[in-house]
Amino acid sequence: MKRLLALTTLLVFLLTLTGCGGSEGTANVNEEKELVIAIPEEIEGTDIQQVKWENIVHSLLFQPLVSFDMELKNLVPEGASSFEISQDGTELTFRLPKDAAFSDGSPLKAEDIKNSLERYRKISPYAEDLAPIKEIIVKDPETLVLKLEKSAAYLWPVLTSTYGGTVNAKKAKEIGDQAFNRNAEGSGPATVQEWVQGSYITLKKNENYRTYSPLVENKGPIKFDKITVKFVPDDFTRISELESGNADIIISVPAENVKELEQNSDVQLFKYLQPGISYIAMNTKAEPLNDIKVRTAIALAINKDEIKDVLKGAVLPKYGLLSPAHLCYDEKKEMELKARYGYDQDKAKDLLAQAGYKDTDGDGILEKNGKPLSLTMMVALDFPMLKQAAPVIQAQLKQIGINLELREYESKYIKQAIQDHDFQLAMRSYWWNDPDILYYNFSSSSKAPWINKEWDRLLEDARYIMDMNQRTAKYNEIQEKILSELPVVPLFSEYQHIAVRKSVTGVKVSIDGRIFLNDADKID
Amino acid sequence: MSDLLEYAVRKLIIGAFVVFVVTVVLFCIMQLMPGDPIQLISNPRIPPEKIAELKKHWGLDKPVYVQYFYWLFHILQGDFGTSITTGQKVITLIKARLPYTLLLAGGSLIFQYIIAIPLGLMAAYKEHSIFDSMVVVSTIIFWSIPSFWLGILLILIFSLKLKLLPVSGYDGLSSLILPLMTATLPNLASTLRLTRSEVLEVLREKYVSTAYAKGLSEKRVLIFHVLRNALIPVTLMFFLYLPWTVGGAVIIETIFSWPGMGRLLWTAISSQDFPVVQGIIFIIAILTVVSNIAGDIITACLDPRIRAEIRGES
Repeated sequence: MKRLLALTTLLVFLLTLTGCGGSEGTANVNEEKELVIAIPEEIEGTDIQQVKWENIVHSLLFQPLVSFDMELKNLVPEGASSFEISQDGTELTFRLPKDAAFSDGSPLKAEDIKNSLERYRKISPYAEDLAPIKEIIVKDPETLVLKLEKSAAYLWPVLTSTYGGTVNAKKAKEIGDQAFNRNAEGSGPATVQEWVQGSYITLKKNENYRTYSPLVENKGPIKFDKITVKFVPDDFTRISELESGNADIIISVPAENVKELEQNSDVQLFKYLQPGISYIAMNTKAEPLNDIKVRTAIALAINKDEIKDVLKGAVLPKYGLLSPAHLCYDEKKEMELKARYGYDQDKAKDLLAQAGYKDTDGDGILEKNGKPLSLTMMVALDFPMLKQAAPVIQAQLKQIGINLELREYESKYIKQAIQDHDFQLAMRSYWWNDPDILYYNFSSSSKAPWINKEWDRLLEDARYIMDMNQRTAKYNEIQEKILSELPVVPLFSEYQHIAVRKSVTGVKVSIDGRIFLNDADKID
Repeated sequence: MSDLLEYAVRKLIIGAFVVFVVTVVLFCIMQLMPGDPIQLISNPRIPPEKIAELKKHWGLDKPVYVQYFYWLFHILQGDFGTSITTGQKVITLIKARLPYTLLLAGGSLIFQYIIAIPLGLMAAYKEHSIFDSMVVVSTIIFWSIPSFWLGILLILIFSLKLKLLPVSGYDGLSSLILPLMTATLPNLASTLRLTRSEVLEVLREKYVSTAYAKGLSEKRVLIFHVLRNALIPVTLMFFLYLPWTVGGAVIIETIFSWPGMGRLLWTAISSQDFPVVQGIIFIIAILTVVSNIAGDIITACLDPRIRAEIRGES
């Protein structure tokens, strides 16, 4: 008994010790203006050149030289005070303001941007992105010139995204990449203060921040002293953080909570569209999906409007491969594809009959050579919308006599299965605002069963067309070529929601979901 | 006492073997999962060449047994390796999370015992009273409530309606209250019931009647004769729970965004971050073995019958 008591006392003592240790640092409550954002997933690291996924934390830490406007139509300056593109598109000149600085106050010159880009090429998993850059020239301390092999349109989304943000490569070299990943530094609106892994990261205002973006009014430092980004994986908890007023902004509002938050008078919802689409991939190499008639029948049998209704309007039905939140999206092409591949159950049944399928035993499932038309679809369980759509598609295919089995996997395994050609039907999704994402999904580099030389050439060509109209025309041609083979059935683009408490004003969200906090302020 | 020492040493040797087997099995299971941590970066913008390069960097292109012995060799030198997703030392990650888990799971364990033992004793002593029935009914309720649901309920009541406590995260001791309640209540119920039934059993023993007959006071009988004997299985349970004070509670930590080991383990498993998973399971395995032995020894100290058994064995 005495021993037990002693042990208990010891444990209590230990816990008190750790408890005191943990509460330090968060105890100071002075009159700082703080913005709290709750996001579902923790950052892998703070260094944009080392992480594989970026989120709002990175977009607060790093500033690209240029950016796209809210509708993704035009390029506008951001960190650079101005920029020029030569006639042939092979020479890009960026001018920096004389007072440009990193968040620690050290000057940010053309040389620093050169170092940052070179580091990107060396360590980023996306190093390939900068392949078109042949030479990086520091013309004078405030002028940087990028010389390209040939004009490369697909470089712009990288340069304008957070990934293209300038990092303080000098500091990274000093403290080492690993330490830098914990405490990265750039020239964005905020800088790392404290990162408690598994819980939150606190960013403090970057007093040296300047932007030349015409999209915002406040070109100087943000109006918050600090921004805390909490990592709250549980949907219910994240919503509760917002409703209780503990969080000012939450990202990734689950579709089932949208209605409830719309009715909440304290909350404002921002809606944007997935810059990409979700689709069903088909194994074009194996029976029975190697028959284009079967693939076309599947495409025609899927009623995407019905899927939209089941998903309570949280998606936009898609017939082409690009979303309205993509560069080079063409509404006309989309309509044309809709006319061709829109829901038509009778035609779908005809096509299956032409392909030799008949219901011989009267069980409602078609057969050919005595074998029932039974297919298995890999369902991405980490994409809630796809998961909910799967049974609807199952029911729709049943109506034309196809038996569809559903198997749930994490999307990572599905990606692997497609590369290994070890699937029949599989659900996938892509997110990147440049149509060049099609290169990674449909060219030979995707290792998918549908690769062919002609698509490779077209996708490669489209990377280098600078004129937006010509590039759009090229992507129309690409969509036409790819969809004439139907390796995939496009399903939908998801609407995403960001919820902001009404006490926070001035938040802006672009069509592809970039969040601008420059003009944001908090009223108590 | 030398018998006990010999017993402990023997158990430790078996324990080391158990830990070894656990690591081998774990390694095999992780390998059986499709994909690997590099392949699992599902972002399509990463070209296959880069993936091959990263695999080589992390030694994932080597055969499984080479990877295993490499890991074993390093862990014997106290090197837990580096996390593949974050690039940080595994030991650094664990050190950062351990205080929070100790605070939550350890705190819960202590509260559970501090509350359950006196209540269990009282309930058994006053068997069939209103107090006893209340205790029994409430333990059934708490024992059957799933912790994720209890967590949500507590957030709804204390954070959203009453606005008394923070919803999630760690921001001072006030944020400990809700997760602590969620972790404690169901386990408290089980310990309480165990204490109650053990006390009831001991109360029927003849030596208790003897103690009363000797004219000892009620308090003395209850604490020194009844409780001391009834607590032996309860103590053993304590040591069985102990490894989980380090392992953390995955569900509770996720609901409350608690930065503990449970969440670390969960994210590591889902991203197949082998070194982190191996490191944590290794620690839990060692702790399980050690606390089992400690449990045996302590109960032996408390109970001469068990001591005799051990002596009989050796």
